[in-house]
Amino acid sequence: MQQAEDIKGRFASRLKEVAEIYQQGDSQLALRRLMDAAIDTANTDIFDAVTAHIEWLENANPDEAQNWETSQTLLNRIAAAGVAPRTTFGERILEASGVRKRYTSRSFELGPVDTVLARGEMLGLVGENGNGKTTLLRILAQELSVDEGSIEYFLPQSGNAYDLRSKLAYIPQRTPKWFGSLMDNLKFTLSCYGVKGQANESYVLMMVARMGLWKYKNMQWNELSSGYKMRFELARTFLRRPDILLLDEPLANLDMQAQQTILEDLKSLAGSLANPIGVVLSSQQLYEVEKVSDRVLFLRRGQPLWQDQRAADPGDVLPPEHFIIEFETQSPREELQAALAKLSVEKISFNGGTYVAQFPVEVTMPAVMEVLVSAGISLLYIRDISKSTRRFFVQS
Amino acid sequence: MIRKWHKYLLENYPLLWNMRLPSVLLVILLLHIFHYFIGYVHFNSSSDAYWENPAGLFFSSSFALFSIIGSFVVFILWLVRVFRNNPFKSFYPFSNGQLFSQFLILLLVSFLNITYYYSYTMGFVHHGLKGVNYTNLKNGTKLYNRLVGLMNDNKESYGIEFRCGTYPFPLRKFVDPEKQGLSPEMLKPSDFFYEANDGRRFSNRQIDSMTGGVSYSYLNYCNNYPVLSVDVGDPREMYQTNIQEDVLSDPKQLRADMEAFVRLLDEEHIDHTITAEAWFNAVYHPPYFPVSQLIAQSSMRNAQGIPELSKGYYIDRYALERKFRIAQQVRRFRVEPGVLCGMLYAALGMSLLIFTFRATDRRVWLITIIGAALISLIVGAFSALIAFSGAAESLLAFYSFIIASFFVMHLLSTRKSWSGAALNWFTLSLPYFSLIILGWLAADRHSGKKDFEYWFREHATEYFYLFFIAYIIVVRLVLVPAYRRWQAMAE
Repeated sequence: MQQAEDIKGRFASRLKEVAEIYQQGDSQLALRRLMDAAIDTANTDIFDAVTAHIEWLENANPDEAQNWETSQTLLNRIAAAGVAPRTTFGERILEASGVRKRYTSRSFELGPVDTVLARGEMLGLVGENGNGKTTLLRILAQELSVDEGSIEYFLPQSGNAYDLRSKLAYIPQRTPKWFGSLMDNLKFTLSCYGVKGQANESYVLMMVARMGLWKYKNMQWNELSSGYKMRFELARTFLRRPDILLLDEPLANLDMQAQQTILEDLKSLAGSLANPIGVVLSSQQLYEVEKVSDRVLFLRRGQPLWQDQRAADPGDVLPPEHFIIEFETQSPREELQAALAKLSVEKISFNGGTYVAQFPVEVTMPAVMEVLVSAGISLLYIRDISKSTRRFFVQS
Repeated sequence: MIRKWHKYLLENYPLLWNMRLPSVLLVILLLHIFHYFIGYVHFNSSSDAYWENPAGLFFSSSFALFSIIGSFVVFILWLVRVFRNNPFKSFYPFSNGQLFSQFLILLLVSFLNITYYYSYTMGFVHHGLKGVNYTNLKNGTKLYNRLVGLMNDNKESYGIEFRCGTYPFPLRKFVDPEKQGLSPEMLKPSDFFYEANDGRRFSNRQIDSMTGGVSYSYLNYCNNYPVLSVDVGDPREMYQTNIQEDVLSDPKQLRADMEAFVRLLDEEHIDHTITAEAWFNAVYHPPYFPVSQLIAQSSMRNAQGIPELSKGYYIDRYALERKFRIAQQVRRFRVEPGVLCGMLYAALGMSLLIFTFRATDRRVWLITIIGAALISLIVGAFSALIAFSGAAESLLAFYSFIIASFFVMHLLSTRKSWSGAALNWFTLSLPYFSLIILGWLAADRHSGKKDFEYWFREHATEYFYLFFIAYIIVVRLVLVPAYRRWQAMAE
């Protein structure tokens, strides 16, 4: 009862947030959030209303006032429909203990890996190429067996291995080719999951709109760019309503804008109030992954080096031992060295594009900025990577 | 309309949509109709159609090659479409029932796609039956059968060579000129000779050697004529003895029959030169008539000479026979249980092969196929060794062991690919199990002094049907759960 009230409250606050975003003029973001809320209602009438709204936006090209007016009406309808939770946000769904996998032919060993995953949580998996990210994802997806350790899934009605695997969605880096139109494929997926007739059409159109595939819904695989193929995979996966979603390098081959959009979409959809899912995501895009992940697991040569447990259980956190910045400048290294020496810089390294400077842990970003500005050093880019897994890459 | 149907299936019956069942059934139906039409058109009543089973009729036609290619193309195109989506491999919710239904669909389509011969034959048959009145056919056949032994089929058949095979001809019996002075009571069989219409002479002995000693007479009566029967399916069985002597003992009835027969010839547009009166005169007024015991009327005994028309009348008996035979065969047409059973097993094998491809991945399937070839070679070599060593009866146990070991290997293998390949081998070798059991039965029955061959001839079809049903049950209860378990197995 308490939980239902809690979800109701969170739903109301999300709708309020959507209204605020509209009023701030970020109508694209607002529309995506509105659609997320609509999906949470699991109400096909709402889906139809939203898709009609999308169609209207596409054809009528309304101004912001008109858009807000109709969107407000929609938000009211969504609020009236309410949220229909199917699962509980935050409940533990996966627990891996001492997982090891050996490849004698490659002299590679993964693990031991211990990790947990909860509904609505995103776990980022980072590390350089060939360090076991894909292996771990495939193990979690039950594609690969483990040599040691165990993985427990706390999922409803997964009595046999096939049923369990139908609740785990694994999207490999290279998504397989599909045939026929995008819509047909999505409809087929949903139909296999028992959503039939008009509800099928409504739900699919809703997801197509949500994933920004509206204009492409009648296109085929070879007519879509990599980004839209990935969007299609995500749409298909979310229609499956998996309990755990495992994504292997979903951001590869995507432009910066697409990367951010997809990550935001992932975060938003995984955090659905009606059907929260656990997401494990591997990527080389450290900053983007760190931005959306609740925790980040860094793998080096198969060993889990670090887990940033931001959401809970801070006991696992490896606190930063240094203050580290990454920056770009065209000033000579000697000038940099001289300026940063004032802050007792411990190490400066240059990889040909960016500098990485390591300071004692008590140094702060404003202090660094102040020193650089006073030395007349102009910056093209600067980032604090003290808490980022990026520091492991530069320290290695 | 097609779009609506497509959408309806897609949204409501994903398995049927995925398997493209309605569309492939529609295509197959159209092809069956096409085959029926071709069969209908191919029917030619003037051709000497002679077949023993529908498959034989179809496969001896030039259309068969086209049909086989068409069937193959349809099947491949269908499979290409079916393989586009595989919810089972994608781990969509796919129950045992759905996986089994998928197998049944494969079986159904495979079966329907290899039975075009049936529609072709039905077209042929229905054309053959067109306008045939069965009562008339039956009566006409009976009439024909009563009289055929007394007929010449055509003018060219007036030779001794055709005496008593299938073609009757009139022989005139003469007393040897040197014995002309003897009274009939003093004449012996060797005092007579026979003269054919072409003037050649034959002794009694010659006639006997040519006819195998069967009866003959001026009436051209022979006990071994080709007759038609409305109840006999195999045309070979037409050659049977059923000329009744009573045909000849009632000239009045015979005349009436002959008149009816001539009417039938006219109705059926059969070429002939006979009239009832002319024939009757030829038969009942021969110049010399030594087989009086066959003719009740004594007044006929002294009838003088066969008139010239005896070699002037003929009936195109072939044409009549063809008409009757085709109509009768066509009417009795049915799918032979053996052929149907063979087709079912062919479809079963094909559907299992596709099922293994559908339920496992490409790599495993490739291992399966290559492995199957190697296993066949090894098993063949071992079989030869066992057979040459004089322990042929051990082969059955050997084969059973091989098949069983596939399943054990599937269960015990920790490597997914080998486990899958073993399961595929088990699946594909399963249909041979019926032959192994059959081998056992044969051995057992022979040892029990029972007539196995007789048993097999009588019950082979039932036996194979029974095993077919057993396979379907095994697929549902054993293979489908095994494939589902295998699919979820981690590598």
